[in-house]
Amino acid sequence: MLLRRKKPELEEMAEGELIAAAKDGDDGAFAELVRRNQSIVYGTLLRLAKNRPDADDLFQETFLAAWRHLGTFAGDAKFSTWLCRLAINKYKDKMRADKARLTALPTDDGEDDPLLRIPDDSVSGSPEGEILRAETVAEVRLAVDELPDDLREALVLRETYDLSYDEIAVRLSVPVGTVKSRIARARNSLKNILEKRNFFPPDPSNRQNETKGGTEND
Amino acid sequence: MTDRITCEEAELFISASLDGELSPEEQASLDSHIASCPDCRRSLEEATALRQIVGASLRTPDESLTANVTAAVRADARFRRQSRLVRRVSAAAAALLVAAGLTVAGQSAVGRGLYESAPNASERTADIREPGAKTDGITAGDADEATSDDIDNETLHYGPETGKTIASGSTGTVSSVLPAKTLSLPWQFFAGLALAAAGIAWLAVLFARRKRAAA
Repeated sequence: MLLRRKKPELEEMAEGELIAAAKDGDDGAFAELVRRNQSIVYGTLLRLAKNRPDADDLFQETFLAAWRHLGTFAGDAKFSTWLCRLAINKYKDKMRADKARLTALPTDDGEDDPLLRIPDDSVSGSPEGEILRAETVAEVRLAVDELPDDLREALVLRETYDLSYDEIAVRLSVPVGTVKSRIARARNSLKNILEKRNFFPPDPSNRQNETKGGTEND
Repeated sequence: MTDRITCEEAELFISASLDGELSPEEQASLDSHIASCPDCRRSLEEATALRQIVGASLRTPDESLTANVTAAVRADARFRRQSRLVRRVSAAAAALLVAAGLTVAGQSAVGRGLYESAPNASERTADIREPGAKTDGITAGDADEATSDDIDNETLHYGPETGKTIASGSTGTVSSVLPAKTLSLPWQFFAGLALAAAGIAWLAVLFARRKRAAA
């Protein structure tokens, strides 16, 4: 039967328990799974789609499909891996539907195409494994907004969509060297802004999904 | 032999190295500079940490996006629960229909007498059934009920006319001469069967849908 658990309970549950509950129809447990995996899925989709509206649509499709086909998750792989595969498939479906690519479609074996590589939490510098507090996310976004336009554009294209310097140079119609220096200056300015607000250097508590402060949504 | 770089250049190289955009030579220059410059080494560490936070922040979906997803899931869950309830009630109703249909058919067939040819009360032909011989419990119950139809039947069955056949030309009762099992079934029999068939078809559809939904 359906039992609506309270939020603090949900956040302490192990992933396996949450999945079992969600399979039973507990949408609150599934919402917690969404929260824990939203960044890795969204990050994957941003890299694939290279624009926010498409990534947003695919994000919704992915998680709705995950909810409906939860029965097919056998628990033999990591849940985040399963989600990312779903996301990649949704992206491929969209590509086929849009016929946006004239070049050959990616093969079904996602491992071949570097674009479709599933982000690896263990690789250092890969931010997907992080679950940041909502405060941190908000502060960083505010700081990014404060950057001068040209610096911000370059940094956002790099950090959001994983575009190469060459690709960014094309998009912004500037030389690659300019892209390189703008991104470096953007990062430097960001560091100064966040340091002034005591958000940098980060202490470990910035990275936990602590909810004692009750800042998370829902 | 690697080129020596200044700390200012190193800062630029550090940023590019985080993005994997350094040539091998540039990377070598950076590595050797870092090895001997603690300030720049710390810069590298800070830049790495900052990049993780910035990347994760910019790749975190908006709250509205996540809220939409969880709302859609919640609505779907609610729909499934309601559907399940509707399906169960539906199945129960279908089963009732089958039972009712069979009962009506059975009662009309046996209660009215399989052997009667016409529903016209005044010209009913008597059958040859013995007064006490009942085919099943239903007619026994019927006999006790004081419906006008049953009383008519009773009269016919148990009255002195039992055994006599009344030839009634208007109904063409060749069938009344034949013993027992004639083919003249009352309309209620077929109506009951139709109801039961409808109920069974309904159940079949429900089960087929559930199979499809579970797939």
